[in-house]
Amino acid sequence: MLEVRNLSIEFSTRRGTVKALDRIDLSIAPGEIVGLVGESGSGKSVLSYAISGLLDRSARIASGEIRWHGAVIEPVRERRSTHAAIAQIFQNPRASLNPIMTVRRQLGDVAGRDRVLSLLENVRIDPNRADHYPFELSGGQCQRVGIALALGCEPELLIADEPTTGLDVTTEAAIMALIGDLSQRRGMATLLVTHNLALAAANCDRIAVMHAGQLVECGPAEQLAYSPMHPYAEQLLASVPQHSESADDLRTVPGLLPDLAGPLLPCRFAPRCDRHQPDCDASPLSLIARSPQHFVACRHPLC
Amino acid sequence: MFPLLRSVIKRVAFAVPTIFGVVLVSFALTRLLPGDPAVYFAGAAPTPEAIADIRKAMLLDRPLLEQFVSYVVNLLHGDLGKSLITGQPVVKDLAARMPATLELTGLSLLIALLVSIPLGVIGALRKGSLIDHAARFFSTTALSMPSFFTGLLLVFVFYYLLGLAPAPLGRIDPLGLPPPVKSGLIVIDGFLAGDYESVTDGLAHLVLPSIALALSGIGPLTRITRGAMLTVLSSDFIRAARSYDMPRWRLVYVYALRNAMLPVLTTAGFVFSFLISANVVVEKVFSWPGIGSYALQALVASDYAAVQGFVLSVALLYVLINILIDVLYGIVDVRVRLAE
Amino acid sequence: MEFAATLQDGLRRDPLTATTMAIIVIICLVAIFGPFVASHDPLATNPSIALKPPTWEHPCGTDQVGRDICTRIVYATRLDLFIALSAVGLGLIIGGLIGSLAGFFGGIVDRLAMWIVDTIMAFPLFVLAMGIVAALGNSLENIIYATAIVNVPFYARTMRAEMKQRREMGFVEAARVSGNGPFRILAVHLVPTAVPQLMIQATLTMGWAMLNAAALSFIGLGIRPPTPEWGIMVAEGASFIITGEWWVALFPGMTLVLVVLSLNLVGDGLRDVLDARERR
Ligand SMILES: Nc1ncnc2c1ncn2[C@@H]1O[C@H](COP(=O)(O)OP(=O)(O)OP(=O)(O)O)[C@@H](O)[C@H]1O
Ligand code: SF4
Ligand SMILES: [Mg+2]
Repeated sequence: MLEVRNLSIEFSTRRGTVKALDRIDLSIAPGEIVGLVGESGSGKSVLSYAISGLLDRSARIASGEIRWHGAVIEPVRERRSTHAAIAQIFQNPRASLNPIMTVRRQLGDVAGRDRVLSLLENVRIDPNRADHYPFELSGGQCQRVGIALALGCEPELLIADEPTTGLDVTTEAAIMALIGDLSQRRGMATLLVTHNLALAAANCDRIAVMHAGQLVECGPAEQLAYSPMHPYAEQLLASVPQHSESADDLRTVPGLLPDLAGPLLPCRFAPRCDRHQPDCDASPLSLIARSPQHFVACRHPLC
Repeated sequence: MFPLLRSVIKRVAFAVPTIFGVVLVSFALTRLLPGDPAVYFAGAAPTPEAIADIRKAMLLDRPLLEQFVSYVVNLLHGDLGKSLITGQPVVKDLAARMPATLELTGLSLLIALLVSIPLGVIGALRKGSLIDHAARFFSTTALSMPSFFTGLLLVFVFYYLLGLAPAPLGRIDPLGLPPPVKSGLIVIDGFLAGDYESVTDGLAHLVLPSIALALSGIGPLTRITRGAMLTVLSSDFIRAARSYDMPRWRLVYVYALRNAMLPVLTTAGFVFSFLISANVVVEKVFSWPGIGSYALQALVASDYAAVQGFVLSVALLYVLINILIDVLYGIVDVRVRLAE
Repeated sequence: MEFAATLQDGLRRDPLTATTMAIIVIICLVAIFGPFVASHDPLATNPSIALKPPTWEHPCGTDQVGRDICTRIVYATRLDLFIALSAVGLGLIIGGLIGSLAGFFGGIVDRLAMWIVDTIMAFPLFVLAMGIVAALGNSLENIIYATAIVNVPFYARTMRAEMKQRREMGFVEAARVSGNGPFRILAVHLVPTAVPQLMIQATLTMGWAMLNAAALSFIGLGIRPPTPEWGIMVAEGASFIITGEWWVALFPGMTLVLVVLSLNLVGDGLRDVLDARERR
């Protein structure tokens, strides 16, 4: 249904060219839930904006293309046309709602007046909230309104950019259950963007791991969660706290993301990698199939 | 209705320190006169008795505090003193000329808004395009033109060269008969009296001065609109709205513009102060019989009560406008309204 | 000096700002040296050539009493620049002082200072300036004082914001620990860091100060005829506009517009350069 092929995206800024995405390959089939994980700044949002056609005008495609049911779609769509039924849930739920309009008005503008209440019911929000303004709602409620708005577009593909950041565990579970349910009932595909590998492992069919704008590993959820191949995926997995209540002892991946505006090595993880060998810096890497479903971009994978 | 009333009362209360400051400054201005204020307030050829009377009336022989208190008490009674040139109470003079000024200022604010909001929106939508650069240059130029000069240029082109506009001599043809005064606005009074000749004549006289005046407001308003629109257009909720595939007109004119109007509204007060200032010189250029030219006549005749009355009433008008804008802001922005 | 470097860099990329800066330099040169090379006497009347349109001898024409308008514009440039510079300079000193004390000490000092600033801002500023000149008396100095006072709020606010922001920074604490008094910290460590921001404010308000002063003399306050000054010259030309002698008002008016426009463009350019630097 969706195919991203060899996609590279650059932003021209005052500091220079930010190479935000580097030759990304990714495909999603109907009904599938695909997780996109990576630490902050790894380019998850840029990729999801590119798919939904919402990138800023300062973005430039350096290579590749995105195909939707076989037809090429542009990552910067000033006027989005309805033929690509892709809807997005945003990272920052409150800021993504119009601050001076009621929930009812916004839902009505998107899905039609008569569907407002059923959509709210879908995301389990009290219909009495319909006449509230975003600032009167909690973060979780805003997020659910955001989901209702996205669902109001009746998408074939839902892109959920960190739909549960800043929400408590119970709300998180409720929202994930809602998304899983919709995928099953409607055959809607979902791209779940998150920095939380455990969350992705629990909810997704497949997982793609991004680092510094590169897709480093992609495979079935259980395989990736139990036997990661890329050193970065392994470290990311180790950084997930075993018991999610104790978020304090979060181990992070050592080292910093490289500056995407500066010169970059073929493997952008090389400066942080403990398996690094001289041949890693030789020539551009690409995803290699280690099994029919499992791909990794590394010269010295873990297994 | 009641919450609105409450918010009005609250804002008036907030304005109290400012109003106090304004009254204090205008009091200070009447006492700062070089030499003996009484002599100045007595006018051109004062008799010693007149000076003594005024000294008594102004309590110049009493302590400053007492003078201030009586000044405030007089103000509360609507007493700004008597004008020397007209012999009338200043308040009455100002009230009689206020409609002419409000008519001119109001119309020019309208023109300024009608020009600068589209200009700012287009500039923001096509940032960096030729139109954007042209709009920015136009608004900077408008900001750099003194309105007395713009007014003269307009008169030269549209009256002298093209003969399209009437002579810059007031609100209505000197030979024409103004309609009976009801609202004080000639155009409206003309309609009320069914005197359509007055309506067209009044409008014809209004065009050039209000354009001259509007130009001084266009600079700041265009900039603010453009900046606010740029900020809003790059905000998360517009990106989100874009993803819901709503029609572009709704995205730009309902979602973005309504939010961008909030900072514009805040600046509108400042723009009004620009306009009321420029109003003084524009009234001079077009012999417009408003409070500005009244103040200028008073300046020339050293009619200080009239000048200070003008300064004070304009400042109070401005405070009032700012309160009005705050209330309006609360109506547009629910966050403020509901926070109260 | 890092600021000077960014400035140079910014100007190279922004030819419009560079051009307008050049115009301003030329105007300053005219103001300083113009009177020495001007061919005519700005006050010498000659009724036989009254109200003559521009010729080679009188490039901007002559006015109602036969004075050479071009020469008068040159002399007026000097006077108007002097007024604007002194008003802005004075305003900077007063506003900078109020703003730095308010921002640095906070509390009651801050509230008092902001009350003063808000009170000034509660007046339409040109009207306040009118009132001040009317009360203090009709003279050149009073025009300067009035223009300075109505500019004070802008400088005070800028300075206050800068001070507030910098007060908490490490080097202030370091200076305090090493036994510097508050005034010394203010004068030596804090105020100089705010100079670039203040200079931009000054450029942005300079044009406005000029319009303000010209408008005051246009309505007959301050400087009196026959002194050459842009506002007065436009006022004198006003009555000839409706009879078609456009040059009397046009040339001084255009000079004023050119100077103010250049100042505004330079101010905008400077702000962009500084903003870019801060974004980095
Ligand atoms: N409009 C833009 N202009 C310039 N650089 C950009 C732009 N948008 C994103 N970037 C850069 O692209 C990189 C990836 O950003 P992105 O927002 O996709 O990260 P992310 O993985 O979503 O992180 P987070 O988990 O914090 O949301 C960052 O280095 C960011 O600075
Ligand atoms: S390619 Fe080399 S440097 Fe890159 S992740 Fe694999 S081992 Fe590490
Ligand atoms: Mg993100």
